[in-house]
Amino acid sequence: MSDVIVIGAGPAGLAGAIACAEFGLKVTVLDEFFRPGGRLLGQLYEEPSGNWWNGIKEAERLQQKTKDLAIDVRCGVSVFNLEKDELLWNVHTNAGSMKASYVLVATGSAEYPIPVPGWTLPGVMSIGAAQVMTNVHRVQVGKKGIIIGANILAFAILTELQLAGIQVDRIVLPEKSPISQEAGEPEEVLKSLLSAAHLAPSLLLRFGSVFMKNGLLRKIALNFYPKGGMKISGTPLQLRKAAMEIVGKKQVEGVRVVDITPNGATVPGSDKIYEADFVCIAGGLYPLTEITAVAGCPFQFVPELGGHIPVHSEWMETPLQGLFVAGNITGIEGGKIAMAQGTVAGLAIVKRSGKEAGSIDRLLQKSVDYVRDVRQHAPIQFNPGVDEGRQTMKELWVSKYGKEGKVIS
Amino acid sequence: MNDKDLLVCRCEEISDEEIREAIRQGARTITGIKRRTRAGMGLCQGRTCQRLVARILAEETGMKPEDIDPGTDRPPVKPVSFGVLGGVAND
Amino acid sequence: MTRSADVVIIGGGAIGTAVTYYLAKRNLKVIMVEKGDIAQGTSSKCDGNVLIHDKLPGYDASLAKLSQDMFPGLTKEIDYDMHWTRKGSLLLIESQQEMEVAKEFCRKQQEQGLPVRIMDQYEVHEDEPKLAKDIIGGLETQCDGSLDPMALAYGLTHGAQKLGAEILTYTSVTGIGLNSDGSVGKVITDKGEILTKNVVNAAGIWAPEIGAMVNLKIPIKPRQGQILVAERTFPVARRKVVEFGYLMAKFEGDNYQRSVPPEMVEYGIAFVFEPTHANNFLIGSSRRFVGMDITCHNGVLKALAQRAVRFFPVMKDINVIRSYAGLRPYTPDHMPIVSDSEVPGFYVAAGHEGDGIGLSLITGKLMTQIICGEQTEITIDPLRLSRFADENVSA
Repeated sequence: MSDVIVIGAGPAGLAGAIACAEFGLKVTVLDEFFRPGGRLLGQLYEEPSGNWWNGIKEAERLQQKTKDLAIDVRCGVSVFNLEKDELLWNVHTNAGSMKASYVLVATGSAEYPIPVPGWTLPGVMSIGAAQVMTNVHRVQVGKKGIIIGANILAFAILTELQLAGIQVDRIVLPEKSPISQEAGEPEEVLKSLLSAAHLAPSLLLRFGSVFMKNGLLRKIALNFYPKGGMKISGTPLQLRKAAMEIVGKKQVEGVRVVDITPNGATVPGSDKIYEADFVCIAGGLYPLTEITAVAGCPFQFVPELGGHIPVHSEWMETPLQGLFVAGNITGIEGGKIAMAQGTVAGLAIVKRSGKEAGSIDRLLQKSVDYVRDVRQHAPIQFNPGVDEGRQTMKELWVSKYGKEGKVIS
Repeated sequence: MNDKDLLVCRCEEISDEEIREAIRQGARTITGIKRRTRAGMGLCQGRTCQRLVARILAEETGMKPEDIDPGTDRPPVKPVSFGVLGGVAND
Repeated sequence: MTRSADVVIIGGGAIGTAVTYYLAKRNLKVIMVEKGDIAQGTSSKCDGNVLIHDKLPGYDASLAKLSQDMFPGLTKEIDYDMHWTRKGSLLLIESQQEMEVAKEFCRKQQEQGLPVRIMDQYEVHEDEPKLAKDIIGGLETQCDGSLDPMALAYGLTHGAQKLGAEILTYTSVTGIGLNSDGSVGKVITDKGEILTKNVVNAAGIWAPEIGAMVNLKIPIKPRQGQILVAERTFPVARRKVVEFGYLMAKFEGDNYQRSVPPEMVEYGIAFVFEPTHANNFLIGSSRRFVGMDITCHNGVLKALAQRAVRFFPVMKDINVIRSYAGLRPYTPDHMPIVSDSEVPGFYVAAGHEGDGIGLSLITGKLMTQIICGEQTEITIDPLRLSRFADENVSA
């Protein structure tokens, strides 16, 4: 029997497993995908420093470490239920049930779509699906595509598609509606993109980002936004165009696009159909929390973190004894932060297990500080309010369960 | 195609308009909408449409996002065969 | 805001909505009060059985048949799709001993005029080719049906509203005011009072709480049942399929033990297969007393899945996509309470355990007849609350 079962072999889960194993805990890692790495597998982009972040390499490095530490990493195993008996957590999987004193849930996030008429046609996929097919399966998703939805995730993946030689014809917004909300408003979109200007290396976005934080300048910029869009390494980003419908008989043949005003209103009579054989919808990410929900963990709605989040401390501990969380399940952020959080969770488990009495408190505190440090220097900020979101969760924890370090039950 | 026909729940093929009709009939929770329309009852168990349904509910009722109950997750959180669940997969 | 009504119904499940509907048909001013949404409790956490096959010949079967025969008419008279179908049901017979009992059971039901018959081994496999090969026969009840239980409650609500009934959802009853003579005077809710002389307690597992407001003990206890939901798939069977052995264990008491693993007995597992209108199916059933807990216990889910594969090996590769647990309002003698009470104007329609959907319509009709002071369609003696008067009940 393992001391610790980690659910999810992404950056958070692997880092957590490594931290536990480094202190002699016996660890099993489960992941439903056929190889470890999680969302790292799709990541490849240039950082502001000019260095390239290669997620696949990073995943390989972590995987090598798990081998060195004799961590049992089992791929193709999906967890369908989690419950606790008197003493132990019972992890129910498609490969049988297993027990452990500690469980770290690092299930990451999932994508939500923006429905556009015609979005059920073959050839329409989520941007993340296109990423996995391209980077992991090495399958060509199509010859010429259109991305609907201009957000950080779409930009990061666009670069990857381009590197794989896939032509992305243009990026347009979804039609403004109660469902698409701010994703359909050019001004809101522009605002959110500025936090990742380096990923959109166009003159306006890269050098203009400081000025563009001013609302008036943003409005002016949008009024004069070129009809053809600004190019992001070859692909026009058309903030003043919205997808009204994905057209095609048996599969995607194109997208009907209309001009929109800076606040997202459509310009009548401006319809035009652009040909494409695949369409990526970029909605966004939300924390994949179901496993903690069926385990009985309480939740808190924190919009800046991506929605309903399992209540947790800065030590990544939940109110359920022995249950820890790390990575995107605790709020949507980048891979480096997930890794740092995984380390915190791992060290917290080590502390709770009593394995290491001496130095652990100091290490744990250092790891908590490191998460903040990484966040400050993160190249991608999925949500500009993430700091406030983290603070909300921290305050909630302290008010309900007291300070870190207190033994809870 | 107009918004009425826009599919929100792909698994069960439930349209935007059907969800609004359920709200008009008195549904005030994501679960209440699910029970009236089947939106979220399919293979993906609402993983795709739940947030969309929440937004429609907020729009129709004026509820705040934080007041919308996300519904109850129940096992299995991933589809699992009767054979595996029952421990008789390899008999 | 103070309202007034001829009758106030407490509870918006299958029973409460049925009582509301049938009272509204009499041109009475009725108000239904529900603390949550329609069908939020047991009625959305069950299956849609409208069966007589599990009823003992005699009063039980007669009551169930009366109710069942009301469904075709109701689903026509209300403009709401309740997905009513009447494809019959099949009890599976595993052994010669079961076959003997099934034949006697069948004979008695036939004497009562019910459309039931024994199918032999050849016929049952011809009819349901995906059955496990060792099943030796079946007992078919041709008139059994099913519907979507939530749609039933929504439909009855819709029908009642059209007839002028007022439906107050998300409204909690906090007390019942009595007149100086001890009769019902008003219903007090968190959103105001309703002046009325008649109250129907259709609160299901919460009926004891409502009863306590007028110092009445109602011996209903929540009994949990878990259900597995399968993915959409090819038809596994044509109709409702249930294991007969469980019924036998119920009817024969200590004289009969199923040869099943101990957890099947511990969790009260009885194989129940229900195809739905959405082309998937539900698998039940379990029976456990766990208080008000509606979380699904993995051990029960496992036992349910195992039992399902025993009867339909083909299910081995079909996916379960969800489970849910509901609390059934259990009474000590397994019969519902459809009754007046010692408090004038206070009525009870609750305690149907697993038969609430099937018996909903006759319950609505009987309660209407009781309140209107008419002769009831069938005697309600076995359903009276007073039958528990001598028992040392713990409400």
